[in-house]
Amino acid sequence: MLFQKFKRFTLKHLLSSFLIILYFSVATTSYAAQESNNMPNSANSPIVKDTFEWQFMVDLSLVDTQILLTDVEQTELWDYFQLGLLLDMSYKGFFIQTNSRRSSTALGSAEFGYQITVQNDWQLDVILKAYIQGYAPEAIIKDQEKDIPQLAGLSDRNPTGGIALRYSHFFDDAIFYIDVAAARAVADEQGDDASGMIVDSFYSYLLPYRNWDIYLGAGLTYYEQALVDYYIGINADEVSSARPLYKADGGFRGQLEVYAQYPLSQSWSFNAGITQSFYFNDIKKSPLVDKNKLTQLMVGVLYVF
Amino acid sequence: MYSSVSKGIALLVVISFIGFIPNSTAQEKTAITDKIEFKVQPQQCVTLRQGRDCFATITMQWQKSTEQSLCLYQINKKQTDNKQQLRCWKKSQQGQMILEFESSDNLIYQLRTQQGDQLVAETEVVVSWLHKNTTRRRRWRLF
Repeated sequence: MLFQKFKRFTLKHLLSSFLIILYFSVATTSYAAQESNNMPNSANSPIVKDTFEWQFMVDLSLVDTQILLTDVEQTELWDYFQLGLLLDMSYKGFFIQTNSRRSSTALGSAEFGYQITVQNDWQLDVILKAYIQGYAPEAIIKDQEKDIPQLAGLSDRNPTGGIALRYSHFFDDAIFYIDVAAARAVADEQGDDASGMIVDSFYSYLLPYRNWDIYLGAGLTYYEQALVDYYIGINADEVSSARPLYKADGGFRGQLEVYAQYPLSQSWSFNAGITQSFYFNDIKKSPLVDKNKLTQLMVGVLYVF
Repeated sequence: MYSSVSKGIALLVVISFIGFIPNSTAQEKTAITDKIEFKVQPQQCVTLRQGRDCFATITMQWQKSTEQSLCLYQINKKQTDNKQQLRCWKKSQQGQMILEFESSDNLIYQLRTQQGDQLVAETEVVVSWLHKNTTRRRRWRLF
């Protein structure tokens, strides 16, 4: 326990120091970038930050998805439909962007950010976003039309938000980014919360074929122990006959993805994708979890205003 | 799992999508000049992003009441002085050609007389796009 506390303290300290050092090391670059916005681009000069741009999209998808929680499945027809209202907006380096590949209600998947520096082949942003979705056990049980004793009487788990530094590297037909985030789960009614580090990386390669865009992606994410424990750990107050005490470790998630987009008209596109996620094996030791591999499929249309 | 408002919006999206499809796919242009019918289908090629090459299989057909020797030319609207001859028909009343369209710009198709190079009919295939070409570089994943 002491070791874990020490480890958490050290990691937090390291993360804070890293964020501060990175901020100050790029602060002058950022200023220089703003000053040289009107200069012609050379190989080493920064390129122009985003001016005022916006795009609003509506997305309707059919989604076949799995979640980690024990015995939880999609049950009703409407569970398979997802509607997304997606907004992208930027002004002088500040931006809000929503995930145009992923269906989500309203702006749940939005990122708010600022471009610290934008170079020809790399970029550094500071961003604010929700990294982990929460869940409400009672609402899930009501929806499942069956009893799930592992979830009965369990406290709600709130979403986790984080502030992160994102480094992106651009290749001719690919992009790699890594977020180093200080994240915190919102405190619940009992005042329980958790904070920890998330390191989230993703590589996406674009394979254009005629009018299709085909993206091949791979991701690796690290979640610190306190955050994993908040979601799938069982504390002393929550112990029941179906739910023994459980303290979770930190761990990794790997992802492989194929996503394709095709234009149907000037306003509509067809989108389809599949994601395979692999969580670390130990996750199945939690009484709340019964799988560590998830397959998620999506087929939908996107309307661009 | 979703509110009735969300379901209502979803229905609206479905209805508007279904209503929209025929408009976007039924694209055909007919140019009738001096008793010649010159049809191109489809008339529009849509690409995902502005500036990208657009690909389409285009069918061109012409029909005339009298026999004539005609040639079909392709002209990039941005380089109008550079016209590319695609095919000629000798003393025909009709002609058809299927071609693989690949361009990021609008292309003009002209039927011209083989002798005298007189313009007989003209039509255009328009390249349009879904997303404007912005400085923003996307990085999204699916789930």
